[in-house]
Amino acid sequence: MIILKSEREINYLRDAGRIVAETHIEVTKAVKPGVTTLELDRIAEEYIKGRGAIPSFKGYHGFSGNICSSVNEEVVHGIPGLRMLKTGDNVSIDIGAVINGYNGDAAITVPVGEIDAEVQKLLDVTEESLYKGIEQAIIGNRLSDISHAVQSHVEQYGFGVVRDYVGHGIGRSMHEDPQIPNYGSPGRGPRLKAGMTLAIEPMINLGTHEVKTLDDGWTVVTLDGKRSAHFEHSIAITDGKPEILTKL
Amino acid sequence: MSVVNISIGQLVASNAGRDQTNIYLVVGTLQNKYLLLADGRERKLSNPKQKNIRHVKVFKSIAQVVADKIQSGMKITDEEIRQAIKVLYKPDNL
Repeated sequence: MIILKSEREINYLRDAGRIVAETHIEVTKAVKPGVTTLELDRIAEEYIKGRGAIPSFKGYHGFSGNICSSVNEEVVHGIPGLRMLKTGDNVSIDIGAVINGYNGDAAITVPVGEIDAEVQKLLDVTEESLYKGIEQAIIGNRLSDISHAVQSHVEQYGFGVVRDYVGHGIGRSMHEDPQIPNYGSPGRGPRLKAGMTLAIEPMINLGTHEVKTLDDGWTVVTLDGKRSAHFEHSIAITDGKPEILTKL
Repeated sequence: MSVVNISIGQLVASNAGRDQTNIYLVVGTLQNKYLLLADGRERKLSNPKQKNIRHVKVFKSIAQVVADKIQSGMKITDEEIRQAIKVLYKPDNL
């Protein structure tokens, strides 16, 4: 069941989204060679709590971090730890915060120092594909038009679209209906209506789209060990253009 | 944070372990690696089977009524699970 939000609820989601966006700026500033993912986690925790919100990932089905930090071949759900970032790495930071009972959720992949041109291309294409998807989030389109826009943009560069994990609706719960795959044929699924709030999140691999989960039960890595990128925004479908809630 | 591409209420078949070939509905997920499965017969809602996502075959069919009830926090019964599986699982057209 897809929950439509009123203007008042979308206002709450804007508040949550703004905090997530600000936290992203703080964390991104700290990304440099030598910093551990746990330090990034602490920065995010302090900032979110300082703004009167709660990090929503902590304790989610037992997740131990405040953020997800996924380095290089890690696709999503990396647990912050003592892994030190080094020049040439790329790190995906996924942040969620809840305030007044409403959630914001967004992710970006940040290069650490100088990175390979190939990896930079992966990051660029993944971010572009997110915006291609968001462009399709307009009234009258169907859900899979978003999925198709992401997939068709990414695959022309020969990258792999992760199938096993998908985006989601967002609101009072971090994960609501519908599920939003990043692949599929256009014109399928529910029709998009004003008041739907979605977290669109392409996860794109340099090589194969196949992934596996590590023994910690969380960290998802590419099957071939090649790099992966992840960008995400929470958006609201409005009468006009879609509104990005997690952007300043 | 992304979600596993399997919905609550989705029809799955075990393809590893002693319960191989058993048909279940997904009634929950544990972290992002395990599913909670019930068939309303040997595996009731009170004691769902915990199973690695990799050890099931996922069908396209989803029991929407069951999914909606679970997600909105309403109570469902083992009878509803049995009925849903009966309606969705047709071995010849999967």
